[in-house]
Amino acid sequence: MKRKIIAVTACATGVAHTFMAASALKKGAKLMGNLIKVETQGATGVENELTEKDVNIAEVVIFAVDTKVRNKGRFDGKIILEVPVNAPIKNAEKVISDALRLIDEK
Amino acid sequence: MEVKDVLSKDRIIFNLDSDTKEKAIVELSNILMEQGFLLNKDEYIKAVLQRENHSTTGIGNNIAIPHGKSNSVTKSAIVFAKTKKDIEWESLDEKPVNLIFLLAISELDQTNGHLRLLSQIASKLMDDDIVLGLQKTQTADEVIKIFNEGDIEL
Repeated sequence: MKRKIIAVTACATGVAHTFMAASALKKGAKLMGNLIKVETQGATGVENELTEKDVNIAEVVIFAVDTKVRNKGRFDGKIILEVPVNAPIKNAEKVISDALRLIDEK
Repeated sequence: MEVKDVLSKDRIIFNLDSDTKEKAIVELSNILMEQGFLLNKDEYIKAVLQRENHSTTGIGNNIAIPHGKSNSVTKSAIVFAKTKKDIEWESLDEKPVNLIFLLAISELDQTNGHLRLLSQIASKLMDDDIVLGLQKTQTADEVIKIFNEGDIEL
């Protein structure tokens, strides 16, 4: 069964790493056969914003960030894996597996 | 808004001679200065090096994307260079770098399309086919073509 993951990416400058991390997470999830929606919080604003419904159906949340997550209260009560924005750029599948393990080993 | 609005042919360099990260950043900043994208080169270089100190911009796959956001940048732009020698960049995958994308980010560009284009180009560097194309190409036209055609979802 396809796992359902949501993620937020953000970096200090908000131009490059935010978007590379988002791209890497989408690529990784696709390779693993999982579903992911990634919100980018960059210099041009919030894009692909996660809705209440997205948050409700997600099994786990990944924060790939080097800065504060905007509007963090939305994720209260969810299981969250927080990693540096570089982590998925280096190995997105590992980040996703680590996030899923948080739920599976619960 | 197209790729060439931020990355034009006269900012695509082959056989860059620099052999260290710092030298490469200075060399490529000179090009931005000559083309009128910087009010103050030293201030811009300082911003780029500060960003490097925060964490490496060597993203793996032999690519580095040093970048500086500064009010000394008049208009956001990219310089792309292929280096003659491998350069050590403390990359995420520990491999040396031979493709450098230096991003100049203007504080004034908050909403116009330039920042978005920079982000799109950066995210395309996650695509292995695009990286392979960049490693092979020897012409500026092809570099621009690769970014125009390699359309991935953002």
